[in-house]
Amino acid sequence: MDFNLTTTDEEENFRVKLSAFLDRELTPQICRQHSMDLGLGPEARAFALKLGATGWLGRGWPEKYGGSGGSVIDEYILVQEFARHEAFVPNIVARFMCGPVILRHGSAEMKAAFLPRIASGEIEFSLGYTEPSSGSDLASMRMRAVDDGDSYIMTGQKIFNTQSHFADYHWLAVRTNPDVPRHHGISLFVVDQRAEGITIRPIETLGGERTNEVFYDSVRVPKSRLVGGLNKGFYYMAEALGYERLMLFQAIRLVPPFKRLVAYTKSTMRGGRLLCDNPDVRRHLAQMATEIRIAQALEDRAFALLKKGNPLDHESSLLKLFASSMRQRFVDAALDIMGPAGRLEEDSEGAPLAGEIIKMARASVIDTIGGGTSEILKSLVATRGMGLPR
Amino acid sequence: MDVEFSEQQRLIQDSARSFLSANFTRQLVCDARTAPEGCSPQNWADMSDLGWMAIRVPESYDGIDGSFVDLLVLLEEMGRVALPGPFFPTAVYGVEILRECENQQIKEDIFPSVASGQIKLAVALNNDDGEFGPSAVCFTASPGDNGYLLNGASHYVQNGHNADYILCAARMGQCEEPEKDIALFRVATDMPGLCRKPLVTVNGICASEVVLENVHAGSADLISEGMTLWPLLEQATFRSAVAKSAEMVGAAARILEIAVAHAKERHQFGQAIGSFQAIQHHCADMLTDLDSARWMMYKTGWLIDEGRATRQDMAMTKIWCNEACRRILRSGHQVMGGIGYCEEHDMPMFFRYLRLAESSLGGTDDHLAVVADDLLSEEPSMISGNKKD
Repeated sequence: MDFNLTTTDEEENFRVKLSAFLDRELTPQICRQHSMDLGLGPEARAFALKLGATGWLGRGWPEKYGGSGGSVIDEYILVQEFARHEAFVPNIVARFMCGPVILRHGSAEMKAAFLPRIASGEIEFSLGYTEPSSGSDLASMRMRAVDDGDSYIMTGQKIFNTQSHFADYHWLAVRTNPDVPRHHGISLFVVDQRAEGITIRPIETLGGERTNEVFYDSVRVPKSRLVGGLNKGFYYMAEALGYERLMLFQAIRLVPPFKRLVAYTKSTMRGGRLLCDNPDVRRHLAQMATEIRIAQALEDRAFALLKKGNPLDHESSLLKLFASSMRQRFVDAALDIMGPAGRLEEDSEGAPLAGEIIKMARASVIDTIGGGTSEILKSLVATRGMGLPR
Repeated sequence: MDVEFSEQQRLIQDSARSFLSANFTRQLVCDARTAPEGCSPQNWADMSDLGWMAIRVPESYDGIDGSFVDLLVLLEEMGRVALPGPFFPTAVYGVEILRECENQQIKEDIFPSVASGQIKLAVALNNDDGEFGPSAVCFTASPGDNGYLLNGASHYVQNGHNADYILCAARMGQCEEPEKDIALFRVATDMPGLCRKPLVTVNGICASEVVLENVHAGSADLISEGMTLWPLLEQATFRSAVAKSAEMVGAAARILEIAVAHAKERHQFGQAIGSFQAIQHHCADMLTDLDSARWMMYKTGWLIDEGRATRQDMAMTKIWCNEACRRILRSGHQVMGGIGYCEEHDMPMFFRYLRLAESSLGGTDDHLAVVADDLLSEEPSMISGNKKD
């Protein structure tokens, strides 16, 4: 039995160098541009290119597509180190959701056209799955792509396409065959996000991130932009969602705020004593620390499986289920500890921890909804993980 | 499952599963609840022949000297049948304590007899109704003829009624600071002045109150004393809490198997109940709890073998196994419905087993307090937790 995930000197070396790079290059401004989905400013763009130039963004990918060798463990190190620095891997949708699907299923032409530019930090994608009438029931999507010679004409509406206002490409799922059972008539395309006929309308969210509605009005997309096989898009989407569930919730991201919360309890008086001397507060903190550790253990397990070459199935859903509800319990407990002061927002005078907990509380609402609701994921774990009847 | 066992560990798992499933039926486990020996002499002898009592006994004392993870593999299998009896206090808690001690003579006296199944042990450090720590040690030792006189009471000693020897912690009364004033004695249970009252727990008679009234202990019975003793006892106790977690995970794994099988077979409203989302979501929650508890438990075991497990790692393991297994038990009952409430079903057996285990070697609150203490001390060890593991 061996629980060492970073066993080789080479991998450890990568971690050390990457960590030093992040210590040096990351600024609060860059982190904020990435985390709020407000749009990549010039600083975040420049950072992505700088990271790309090191070759590290392509760790785990073949060299012919802009990768730089390494294994899935290097990819794990990449996301973990960014999370430890309270940042996100730049262009994370392209790198960890769309890129892997292109690598596995894309044509040679598509791989050559996109993968090197993803690895270099040049381009970002936006996911185009959800429609107003197709949320959890994705297979019911109605947006059509009509065959027109060497291209498709696309018309319809998508919603919750979070990065569309700054992404370079739209990772678009559309119905290419309305006459077959619904899972079998969906295809995936890579569309220029700025193509003529696309309108993007912003939606503000409780968490402060921006997301979008995206309207297509007879947008012409060349057939070369079809990802993999025609009408196989639903399965590729499921695969990409698997990567998404694995990569988005790194428990280690909670460690720095947790440390700040611990420091806060050691320096804040209430009712004549320090918060950290209150048994209820101590219990909250111990429970939080335990659950963060458990989430890390589940992440370790998922990557240990990948390292052994086993593709993940329900395991990434299970991980996302746990991590998302854990983050909600974390903010609930933190707000209980902080009392009324914990409700002060970032801009307010006297907001403890610069309002980060209440902000996290607002944003955590979507954790158990986006990327697959907890209810959908539980059914998936039950049917795929334990063979219960559909 | 996906914890990768070694060849040796797979062997332990296979032989344990086939022996235990053949020999420990629900009826036998239930009968054992009212039998003071907990486990028949024949079963005990068979388990000893399989080398189980020797699994953590060092090689130089006729033991196998298996790794801690080897032990966890065996205990998980025992949990799957809710194995009753004196194995845990003897071959786990007792042996883990003695492994830590440097007293060669005691080891020569006790280890080979434990390894061969000839003697059974119990451990009495603190009262389970009090805090865990040197200031809550339950006995006192005062100088007597050719040795010491032991006095005091421990209200809850696992396997106390069944043990040949009890490892007793006592205050020597020589020093104000508790941690410098502790000694550990071996007390034979047939000594005059030792009185045992069997206790009826939710899982049957598996513990007793132990009262010592001027019980004589010779100098040869003094296992260890002084400054270094309490940290060793604490180490052994926290390791045993991880071991207890392995038993709990085994029981929880069985509960999930039973519940999932039931959900596939049981039909209501014209379909298998497992096709209902309400049931599916119970099962998904149970799997999430089971996978996380199991992985954490083995990971901590591995850290113990590597010599890197902190007190906090071990406490977190017991906290999570307690919480996760309690939820699994609840959901398991819910999926099973009324039939799982009947004593002739396996569920009550696991209910009794888990409800006792969650309070053994530190309950959730006790371990949360430990984690909080360590977190809020100067250098919280959690922070370094993930990075190099």
